[in-house]
Amino acid sequence: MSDFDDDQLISGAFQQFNRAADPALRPAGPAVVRNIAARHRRNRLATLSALAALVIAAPVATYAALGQDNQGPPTPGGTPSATAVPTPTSSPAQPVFAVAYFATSRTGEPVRIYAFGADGKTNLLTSISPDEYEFVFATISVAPDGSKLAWVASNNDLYIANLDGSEKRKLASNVSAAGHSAPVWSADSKSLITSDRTIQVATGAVSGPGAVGLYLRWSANGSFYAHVAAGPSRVIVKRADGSLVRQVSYTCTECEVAGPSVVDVSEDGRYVALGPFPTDGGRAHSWRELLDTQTGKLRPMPVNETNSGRFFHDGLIIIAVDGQLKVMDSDGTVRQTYPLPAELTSVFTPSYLDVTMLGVR
Amino acid sequence: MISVALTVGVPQARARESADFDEFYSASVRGLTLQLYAYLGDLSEAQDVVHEAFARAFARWKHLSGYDEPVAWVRRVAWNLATNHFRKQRNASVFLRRQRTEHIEGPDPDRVALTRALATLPANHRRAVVLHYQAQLSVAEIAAQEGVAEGTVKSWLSRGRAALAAQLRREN
Repeated sequence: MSDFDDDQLISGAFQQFNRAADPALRPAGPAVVRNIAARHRRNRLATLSALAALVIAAPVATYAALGQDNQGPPTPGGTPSATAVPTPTSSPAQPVFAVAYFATSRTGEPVRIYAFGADGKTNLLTSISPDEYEFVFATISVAPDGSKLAWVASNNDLYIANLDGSEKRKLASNVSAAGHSAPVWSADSKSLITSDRTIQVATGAVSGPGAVGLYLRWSANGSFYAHVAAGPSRVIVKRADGSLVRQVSYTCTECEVAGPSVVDVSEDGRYVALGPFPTDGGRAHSWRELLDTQTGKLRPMPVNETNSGRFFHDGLIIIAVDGQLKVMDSDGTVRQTYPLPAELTSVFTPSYLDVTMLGVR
Repeated sequence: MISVALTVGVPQARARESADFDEFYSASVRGLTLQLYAYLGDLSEAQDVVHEAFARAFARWKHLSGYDEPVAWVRRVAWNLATNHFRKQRNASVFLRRQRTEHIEGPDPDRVALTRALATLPANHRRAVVLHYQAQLSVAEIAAQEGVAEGTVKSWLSRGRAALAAQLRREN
């Protein structure tokens, strides 16, 4: 059979499908759409109101509960840095963290990897076009030791490369990146945990089970990881060795359709940031709710909008807001500001910033 | 006078935006629902994701209405919702069970034959085939929506077309 014959057969099948299905379609109407939109808005306002009340009632207690001493903005000298960090292309400043930016617009925006120095300077390390690597949206991630990039190509091959894109090599095949199942780096940057296996970066050998749909996120210091459990929503926090710290019932009020995913876990394993499933492949990035797993209660968000962010070290939070990356206390007090490069503030949203802390593990 | 004109003008503008949205909804809802129905194999799921996508569009309609093709934005959101991992996981077992059940009951053999055949394709091949044959998108448009190279879409389409045709012939 020729392609033309196949074309005719398939076109005919779709026409038959449409004829059979059309009578069953009963669009709910624009009024229902408005109701859904209004419900979203009400839920958001209710959550923000509750959080605002908490902010007024207990900002100091919340900050103290984070269990860290905030002695000022983080500096590279204040963090253990036995691991390698990427070499910026022009600035001598030692980078504190890396940011992978990826657009989910239709414009074919490249993924850009930046290093942010303690002096506030920003260096573009790599810009990778989707055509070049055929990556699945939002799967590119920086190893916590700053040595490698990993991503899943659209044919489900897992690749790694140096931060500048050199020495690209295929590490594995048939790796899922759907939803928020993008592979995550282990705390020591030596392996990648995919949905169905753990792969040694050096050899490509399978060294253990995968995340099995649990969508892990490591704390910046690599001491804890957290995930949302399957079935009835629970947030589970474990130590790096896999031992259970605690599990907490949780219903995401901001994740009506897609369901929740862990975005980050604090260095002490107590606080977990949650957001909705990403609908593109990759992982969740936007903070919607902040859960205190010791009390099982939500904590005030540091800013009243959804943003990409991470728990910084030293009990601080870094979050993208107003075209800047702001390092702040849990009550929103800004400790340090890193301007985002202009090319990131002018692009179409939705887009994501994935922050990787460097040299803190 | 200016103040009065502005006060009157705002509700009128809102009413016009609302009417525009209603017209946009009416013109595009059936096509989008059929696309997602073919992809998901479940009408209620398809209607859910399509209406969620329209709700998100409504929330930013003032902005979207200036687009050349606002339906492309809604389509992308709806497909993103449909392809998220949670929905796929949830659908996997239900989908196969439903197809078996419908095969026995056989209320709409034409519809069931296509959805059952589509269910045998890998998800990315299935998306490419539905977007091409049902949504009538070009390779370039599918590549843009999926965020992949055109060559990748051509590969998906080629493999998906061959596998789907073979499956449909077996069904017949």
